[in-house]
Amino acid sequence: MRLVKRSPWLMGLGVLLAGLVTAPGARGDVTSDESGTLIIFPKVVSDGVRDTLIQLSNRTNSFVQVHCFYINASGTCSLTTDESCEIDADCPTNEQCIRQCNATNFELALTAQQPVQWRVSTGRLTTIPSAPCRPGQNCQCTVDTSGQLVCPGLLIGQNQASFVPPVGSQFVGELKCYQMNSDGDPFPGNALKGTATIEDLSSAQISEYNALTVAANADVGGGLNTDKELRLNWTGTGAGEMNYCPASLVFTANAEGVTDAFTGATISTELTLVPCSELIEEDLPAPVRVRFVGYNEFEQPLSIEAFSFDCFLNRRLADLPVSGGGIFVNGNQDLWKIRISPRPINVCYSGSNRGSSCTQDSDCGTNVQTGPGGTVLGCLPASGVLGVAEEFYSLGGSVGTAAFNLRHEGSRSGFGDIITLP
Amino acid sequence: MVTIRTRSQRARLSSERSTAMKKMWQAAARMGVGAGVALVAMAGIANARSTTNRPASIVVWPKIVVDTSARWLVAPTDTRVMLSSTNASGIKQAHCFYINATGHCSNDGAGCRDATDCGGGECVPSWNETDFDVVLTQEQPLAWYASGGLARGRFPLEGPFRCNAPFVNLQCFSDAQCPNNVGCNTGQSNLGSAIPPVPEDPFIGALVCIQFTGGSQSVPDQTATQDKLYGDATILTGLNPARYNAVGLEATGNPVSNGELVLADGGNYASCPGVLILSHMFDGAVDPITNVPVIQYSSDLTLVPCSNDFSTQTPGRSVAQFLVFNEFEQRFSTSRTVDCLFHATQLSRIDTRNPARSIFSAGVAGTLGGQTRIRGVGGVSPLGSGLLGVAQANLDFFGLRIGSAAYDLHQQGNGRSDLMILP
Amino acid sequence: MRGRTARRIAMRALYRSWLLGIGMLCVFAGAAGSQAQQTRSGTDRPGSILMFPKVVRTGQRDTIVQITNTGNSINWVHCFYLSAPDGSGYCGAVDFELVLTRQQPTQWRVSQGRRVDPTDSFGSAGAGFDPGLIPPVPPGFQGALVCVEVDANGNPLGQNRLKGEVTIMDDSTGDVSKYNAFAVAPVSENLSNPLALDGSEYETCPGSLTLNFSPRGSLDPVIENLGNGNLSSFISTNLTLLSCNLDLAAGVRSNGTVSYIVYDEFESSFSGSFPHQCWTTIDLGNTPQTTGQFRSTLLTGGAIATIFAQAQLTLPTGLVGVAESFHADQAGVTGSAASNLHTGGARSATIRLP
Repeated sequence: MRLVKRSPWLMGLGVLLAGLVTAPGARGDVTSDESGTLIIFPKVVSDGVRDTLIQLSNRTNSFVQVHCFYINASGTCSLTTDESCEIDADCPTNEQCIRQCNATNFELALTAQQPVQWRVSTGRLTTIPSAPCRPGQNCQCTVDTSGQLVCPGLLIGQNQASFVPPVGSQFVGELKCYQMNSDGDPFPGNALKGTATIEDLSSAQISEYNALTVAANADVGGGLNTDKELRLNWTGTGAGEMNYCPASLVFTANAEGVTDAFTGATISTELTLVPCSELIEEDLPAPVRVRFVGYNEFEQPLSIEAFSFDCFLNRRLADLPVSGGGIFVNGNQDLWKIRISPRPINVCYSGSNRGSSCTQDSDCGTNVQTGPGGTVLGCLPASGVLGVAEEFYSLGGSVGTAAFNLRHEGSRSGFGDIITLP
Repeated sequence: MVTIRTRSQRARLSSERSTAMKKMWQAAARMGVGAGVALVAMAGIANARSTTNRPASIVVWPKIVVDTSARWLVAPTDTRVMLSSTNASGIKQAHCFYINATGHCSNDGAGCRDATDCGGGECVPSWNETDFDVVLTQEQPLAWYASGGLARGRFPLEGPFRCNAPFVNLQCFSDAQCPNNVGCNTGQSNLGSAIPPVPEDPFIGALVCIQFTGGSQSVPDQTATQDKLYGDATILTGLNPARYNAVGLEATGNPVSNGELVLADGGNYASCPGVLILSHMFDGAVDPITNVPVIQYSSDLTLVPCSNDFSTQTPGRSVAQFLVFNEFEQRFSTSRTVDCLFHATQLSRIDTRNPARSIFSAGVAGTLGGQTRIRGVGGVSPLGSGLLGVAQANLDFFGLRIGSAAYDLHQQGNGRSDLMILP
Repeated sequence: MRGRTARRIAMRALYRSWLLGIGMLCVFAGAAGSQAQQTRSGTDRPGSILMFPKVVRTGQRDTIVQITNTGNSINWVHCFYLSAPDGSGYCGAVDFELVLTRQQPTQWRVSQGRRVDPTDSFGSAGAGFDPGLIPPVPPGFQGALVCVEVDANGNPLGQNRLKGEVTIMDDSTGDVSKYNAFAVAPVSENLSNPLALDGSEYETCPGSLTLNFSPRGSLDPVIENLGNGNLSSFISTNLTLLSCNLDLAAGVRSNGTVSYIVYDEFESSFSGSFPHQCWTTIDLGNTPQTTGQFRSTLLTGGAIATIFAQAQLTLPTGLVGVAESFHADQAGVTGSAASNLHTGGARSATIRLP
């Protein structure tokens, strides 16, 4: 009998390849064109004027369970409570802008390669069985007596229960979802991808952007664990739970108020930023401190130092840094490349001095909280940021819209960011 | 049973055992090395993919459309192209190629995207390229309309400049214009740039820009300051802007030789993705937000090959395989040839000329939302079969376009090797 | 005998003159020693850091900033508009860069900023070499401007060539106030970020400020004499302070307490304190912390019985400031005048650039 020689080289390669079949990509980036374990839709609008269609897909051949949070970021002034706001400067003197940053959570299940979609204002119901569309007939959802949509598709859940709950028509904020196992713990499957389409209810103008995804480290020893704290502190190799957020964001935009030479429309750009860190368990907004540095086509720089906000920012360039006081505007040339960098400072995430700069936990006063995994939520690096932007072309009362993803540069380091889960 | 061996037999056995043990350890070591090599290679593979998030050294705009007379589209259309440098110091040169994939009707010779533009005739494909240079100063953004380009003299930083001290009040374009040989402080400028308009109107094609080092011996940039370019495009159809991020391919640091850019692991640039993933609403799906039956979704898709031979004017070519999944996890498939550029004005025209019978039609697919995986295969050697693309979601009211939004495709895995050959 | 006596007298005289000389030397040394503890930064000489404590664009008021390069070489300048829009004392900044050629003066109106436009016609607001792109400040802006000499790479550079002035004008009446920027000179050639205003890298900031003022509610003698007062003229003073401790990178809060002693013409003294932040503006005599001590006895609660007074402000940290007085007649027509404050003492401070 002839003895079959085995090549040790090939055996080693084979062993490794078998192990790498389901391993996530080792790149340490937050992306908008790959799948991940954590998926972030930075801009979700349902305010009675516009609504958002979320498309979420499982790009693997495995069954996937997902836990999601809508984070409503509407804000009101501390004393003039009927005045909405985004930053302190929107409020009268000596008042602060109090952001809700309330999280509403829900769970989904997706089968292999399954895409799903839902309208955020109405949500979507689970219906078993659900009749598919047929040729020659309108393929559309119907509205249930509860106001939620019933659409053809395979949705895992209890019949007539909410597959996705409605948010109503007074919501501006973000949606964050992460992949979990059957015990409800974070699971590094890196299966999720998605897009969001924001639509004007009266004109049907649509903007679409890709959701941001964060890959997780599947390594059993040093990777994503089950302690209800998602740590964004992984470079793509070695120990760490999930990819670091980028060190800076960069995008190119038309100066606010410039006229587009082709259409004659006036262009406005709205920037949406969300923090990489979230204290969902503690129901506290994460403090953000960023710097904007812009260069126009003449290489002339302008910058905004130490801009701060909590939880969510959604502003036109005309209102950066303050309402009506934008600097990246028509009059300062026509085109701007803007870089957004989190400030390398520490701030108090909780405690009586929440939001203040600090050097140690004791600077944060009393009632400093601890995360579910034991991380002290005191003096920590100011949060990283992620975001999208949207252009508005206005002409004669009509408005065209287009959303786009921002570019990422570098990666944060050290502590990174943290998301505490309930 | 007892086996008795002589001393020589025992010595031989001992030697054979030690030799066997040695071979076993050597084999184990080779396995480990093999695994290690594979690990390094796989780490390289897992990292090196295209990106729509980061600056890169090759930037590809898969879809450039100009139709100022509204021959194809419901309203005059142009594309505003943006190219930006993130280099903190020094200029960066982009060597760019407009790829003209505009077909021409067999009946009247007019420009066309597919047969639907020819009113009974066939759309005869064609492919040619036009190249040009753009010099960007540090951190500079630049924008132009594809229909008009940007001629010399219209760039922001082309002077006049000022003479060096003490004649700083004198304007100049060159050293010769400054007294006492003090020289003209040109600093960083866009001198050397000229962007032509696209070669015809209507036009459909792509744009590829490659970061070069600049200077008198300008070569594809594989230096420490590689990966400094990123691009965007806004397709303006009336008051329906549709903006997408250009796709980037990062440099590996391996110098380019013979003008052949290898897009692969171990090559000069990141590989193209192995699979493109498109999330979409099926054509004909009623918009769930307005829920008005006459407002329906359609999507268009543009695919371009990663490989191109600009020296012999040979476009890349591959077969795009489509795997379509609906919300019932049911699967359909089809394929189409991508010859230089593939543009489907509607997804439901990919597999049939009768959209109502297409697997991309909501009535056939059975649900509103879908996910389509696109893989390129069968490239013509030495060019590869990788694909890049962009999609656009459209809302139509009785067939009239009322809203549109472009977005980038997702990607998964690495493709095989692709090749760009420069003239 | 006479010779010895004469010699003794001469020696005694010599000895006395020697003692006198020693004494004079001691006096001078003492004076010099006290001089060494006082900042030499000021409003009457060029420097490498210019601080404009009061820049406004409110209602009808606007501000024109003038900066001049007094040297014969190109000067790069990094400037920061500072404001605390929410009153919290948390100063945010918008910054821009200028390039001044040799001996070049430049100016801009803060409401309009300044573009780089080589086609500006002679005599227009933008005529001259444009120093760089300067953004306009938003309506309602109240804050400060700080400009730092840097090299072409943005690193601090101590050429000591900048001087600056500000004109605050009322667009409706044409009334103007003017003051000089506070200039901090470098001491060392080796400068780094953060900028240490400690006497070894840069000069220090003042440790005290002296303000001469008319108490709030005083009658203006000139207006009264002209017959436009009818015993209803009114003088008020606004004091604006800017902290020398500026973290322009992180924008952290800067706060403390300013102590003051007010002397009237009878040498009566009144003391108190008020809080200060990164940027502070106070209508003297019109805030809870400054009511009696800065008010004329003509007003309820006023303690100053004379038309003129002096306030000495003791600063826990380096501060610069400017005062602006408003003189109104019986019809409410108001004239204003700004004045720099006298400085004394020294305080170290730090400015951190982004």
